[in-house]
Amino acid sequence: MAAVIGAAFLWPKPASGFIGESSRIVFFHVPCAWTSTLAFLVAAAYSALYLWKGKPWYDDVAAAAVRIGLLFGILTLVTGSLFANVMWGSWWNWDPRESSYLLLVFLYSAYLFLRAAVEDPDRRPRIAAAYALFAVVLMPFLTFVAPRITASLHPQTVINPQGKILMDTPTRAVFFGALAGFSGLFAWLLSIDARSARLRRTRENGRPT
Amino acid sequence: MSSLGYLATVNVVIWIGLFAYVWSLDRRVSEKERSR
Amino acid sequence: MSGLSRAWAVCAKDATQELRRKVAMVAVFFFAATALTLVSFAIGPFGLPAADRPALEAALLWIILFFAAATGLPRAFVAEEEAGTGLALRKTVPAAVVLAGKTLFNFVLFLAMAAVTIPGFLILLDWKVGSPLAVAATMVAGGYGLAVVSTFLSALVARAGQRNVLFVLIAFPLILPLLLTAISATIEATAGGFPLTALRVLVAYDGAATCGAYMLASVAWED
Repeated sequence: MAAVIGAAFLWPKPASGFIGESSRIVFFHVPCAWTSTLAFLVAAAYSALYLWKGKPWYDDVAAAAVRIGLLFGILTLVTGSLFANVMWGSWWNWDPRESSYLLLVFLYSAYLFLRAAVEDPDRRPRIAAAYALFAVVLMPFLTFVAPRITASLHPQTVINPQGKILMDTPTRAVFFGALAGFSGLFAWLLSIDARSARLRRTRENGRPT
Repeated sequence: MSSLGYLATVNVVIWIGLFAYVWSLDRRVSEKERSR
Repeated sequence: MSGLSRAWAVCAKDATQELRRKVAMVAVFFFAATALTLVSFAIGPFGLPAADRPALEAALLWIILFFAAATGLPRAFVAEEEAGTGLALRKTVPAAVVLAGKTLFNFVLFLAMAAVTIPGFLILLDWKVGSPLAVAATMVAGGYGLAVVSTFLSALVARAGQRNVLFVLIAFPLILPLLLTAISATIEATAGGFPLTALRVLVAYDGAATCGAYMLASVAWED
């Protein structure tokens, strides 16, 4: 229920925003991006937990985290695209940062596809966990490589100059509120998804945790 | 993306709706869990 | 038998099997040849403005190599399943050793493929290479990374459905940073420079992938 309080923070819409109405989207776009990355880390952590401890619940959480992460990842891309269209007139620019989120979305989809493709329900969580952990090892290269390779071709996203340094107090408050709110929302959705996955799983078997 | 009021209203509607929906999902899952 | 020599044994076994049946090799070379011919027909030595050529050729080279690898490399473990030797292998040899052996084999396969494709590029596309040493280094560093990741992932999909599509789908997000770096390094190499930073990144990637694959080997390839 932590998310209930958290999500309430998202009233910031009417609050401050001095650069131009469209920049308000930062309150949604950045928290979405943050949440989807968080989701991936949660998935990796729970995958490791599953491999270590073996409780099926951990796998439920890991898979749920990827699903929710995919949702937020897509939202990140959509909000980013909207913003790009308003600011620069084009929907997509192959900017390194946005491209890396596109790749993150591909990664999540690949994970879910892998889960669907492994028919054996005993092997599925282990295979999925192996993939998630292998991916987490290679992920840093994505976030560092992308900016360097395409840096020569494209300008950065405008987000950077508008970063924390320039945020005045009301905006900052709203921003962190949004961050907390989205995280709370993530935790809430995660718990619902993981619990229903557990229900679905235990309906077929017996009564494991 | 013109008027602030417009944006604010749209937002409020969406968030309340979302809230209600997720809440109902939570309720449904909790009930199913209790009835096990 | 120490771990390394057993890995070598696995590789040698795969190599002899492959040389005998030639299934993977044929598929891979056929793919590379087809793609190369297609590209040559499409752009030829004169079909592109000179300024764009290096980037495009480097990208094309790695695209061809990647997809040729994607046709051949996943077979590493699938062949075991099909031949029925999978179970025996699982019981007798530790997973990490099997993985190492097959990675080695796939790496050699990749190098062989590069050895065929690059001359093809040189001849058919009039590809100009400023620093052959740098290109060679990129092939080794990039190819090894490709081999490690492909072998590991092919273990994951060995007993899943829709293997070919699945493999490309799960490999793509992980391989892309490698490919981008390799392409960038190749561009620099064709221009004559030595792409030190890019190579460092490749080596780091290779190291990370090797560690990851080694630690997760028994999960990926197990009973």
